[in-house]
Amino acid sequence: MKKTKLLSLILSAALVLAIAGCSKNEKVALAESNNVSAQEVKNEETKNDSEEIVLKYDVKVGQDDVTFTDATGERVTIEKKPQRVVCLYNSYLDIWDSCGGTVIGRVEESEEKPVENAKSAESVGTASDPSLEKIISLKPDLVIMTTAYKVQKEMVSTLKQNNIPVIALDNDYKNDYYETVKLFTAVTDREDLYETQAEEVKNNVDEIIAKAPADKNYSVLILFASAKSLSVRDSNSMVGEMLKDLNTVNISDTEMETSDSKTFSMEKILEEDPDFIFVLTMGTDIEKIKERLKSDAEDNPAWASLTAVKEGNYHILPKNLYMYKPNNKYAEAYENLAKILYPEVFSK
Amino acid sequence: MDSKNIKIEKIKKKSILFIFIFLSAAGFLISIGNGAVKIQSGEILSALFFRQNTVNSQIIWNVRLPRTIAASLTGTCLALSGSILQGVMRNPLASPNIIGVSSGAGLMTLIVLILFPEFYFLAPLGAFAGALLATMFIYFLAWKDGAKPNRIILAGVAVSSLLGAGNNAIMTFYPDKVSGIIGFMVGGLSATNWQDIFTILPYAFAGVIMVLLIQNKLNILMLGDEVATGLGINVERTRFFFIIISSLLAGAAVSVVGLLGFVGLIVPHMTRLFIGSDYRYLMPATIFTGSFVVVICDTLARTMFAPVEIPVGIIMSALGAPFFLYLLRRKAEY
Repeated sequence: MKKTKLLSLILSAALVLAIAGCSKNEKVALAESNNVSAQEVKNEETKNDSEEIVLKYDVKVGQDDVTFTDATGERVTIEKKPQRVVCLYNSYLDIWDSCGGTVIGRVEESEEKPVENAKSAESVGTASDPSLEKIISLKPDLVIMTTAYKVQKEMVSTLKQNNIPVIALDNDYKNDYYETVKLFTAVTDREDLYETQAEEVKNNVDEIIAKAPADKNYSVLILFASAKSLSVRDSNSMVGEMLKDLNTVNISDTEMETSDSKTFSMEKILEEDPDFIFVLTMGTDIEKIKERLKSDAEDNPAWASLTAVKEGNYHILPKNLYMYKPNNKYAEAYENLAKILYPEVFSK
Repeated sequence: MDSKNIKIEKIKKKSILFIFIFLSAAGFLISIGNGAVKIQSGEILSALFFRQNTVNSQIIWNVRLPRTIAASLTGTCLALSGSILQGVMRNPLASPNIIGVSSGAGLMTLIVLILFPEFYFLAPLGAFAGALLATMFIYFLAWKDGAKPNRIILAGVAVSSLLGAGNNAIMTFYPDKVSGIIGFMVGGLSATNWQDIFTILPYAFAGVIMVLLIQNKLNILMLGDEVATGLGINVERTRFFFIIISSLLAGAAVSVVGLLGFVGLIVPHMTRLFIGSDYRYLMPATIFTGSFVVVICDTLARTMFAPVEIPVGIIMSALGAPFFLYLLRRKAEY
């Protein structure tokens, strides 16, 4: 009896190891091929570093299709004029719609950013947890998704394996927006819209940036308003990039490579005493929140001692332009900030 | 001979208590003296006694002092709460989480911050109310001719699961609003101000006073329900009272600091390993060890990678757990 037990134990251990070994090889092979394409993208990026815009997606438009590098590092080809599109991220849906695209499937819409033309599309779940079954059941010929959500990122390879074309994006900055518009207008075969949706926006933004004085060097702080923490955004965040472009210095930039949102020391804030403080909020009623946040800051002795609070340079930013991606309203977002920072140059 | 041993024991315990008081005071001073901005000790002293308008003075008065006091108070409240519960439930694994404080406070905070973000300033109050309501709910569920400790623990586990599911549901349906509450879920002292202290102080004070008045009863409860009744204690009423105090203390702490684990469970045990299980010494000692642990860990959390701050819960687990394991191996009481 003992011998049989020992034998079966050894056999099952061997079986487990064999199976584990097989799957590992597959995974290693996949990872290697991903690494290779990621390496290609990196090489391209460093080559272009000397240029103004680093081409993250590197969109190449062909006769009937469009090729680009998606957010997983793969070079992907999409056929033009898809008929059955499912979009899993409302920020991209917004762009897709303005680029002349239509969808048959979308995720639960956010009350604050509805897309009129997509109201009749079927819902496939929420952005953080879309239903793979529902997506496949709609027989899409294109799925637009984001790698910012873990669940969606994991879905990308499954959809590709099912031969469903996927556009996987990860937008953070304005250049990502311009390239996305290039990609979308090429796929919808409405390249005329590239002018209004991207070129004009870019020109307006560049105009504002050029007009911003370069010698003031105001110091700024970006706060995310929440009940229990002092969460700041440095220059690697969306609003951080905007303020950096406008020639300001972000006091929360440190040598430490962290994600763009971190807890910052109140003492440091008091010591640096930034000229401007911008507060991001997810609240809906911006007027109510403004009053509340302002009085909070003034009542709190630590905050009240800051120059920015004393001189009224404590500004609350609305979420539709500064928490969500402003997309084709990038120029408006920049203009608002510029008016706050340099009122003498950008008259109201 | 016997009375001489008892006398030596008493002196030993009293001196350990004094060491804890001293450590707590030392921790307080260390916390005020250190931070992201280097300030000389001379300046610190003058800032403490003479209010000035310099930046450093502001930092001491408006940032470090309230933060240190808050850390100290929350440490005391959480440790006391855990200590009481471990006695009342006669279970060494009892902590404020068992009576639903964490899950109740967490759910209420989520509801306020996500569904009513304009009222974000009500979140601390909500947390407090949530903690108390959860405790009452658990007690009510566990009641059957009295509330036996095991029933309370089991009911607590079930209710915490339920409320935790509620948390996850809200986070699933409002994913874009989740980033704002991570700070609360992990627990931290970074945004503490004098307002928070005035919120927690009355409850901390009341809780501590009440506990010190009736700590004898806790010793008796530890002997078992029958023995306690025989000794003249109204077991159900006393137990209920202790649980309410425990919930009050923990709720007040959680509303200021967020969901800080570890303190309620481990600090009472650490104290017990030094000073023994007699609640007449354990209670006062826990007040000071709780304060010391949180104050020191918070100081480390905000100076190690200054000016970036890491959540204090991480430091506490990283340092406290190994230290507790070391104690466990050295003192063979368990």
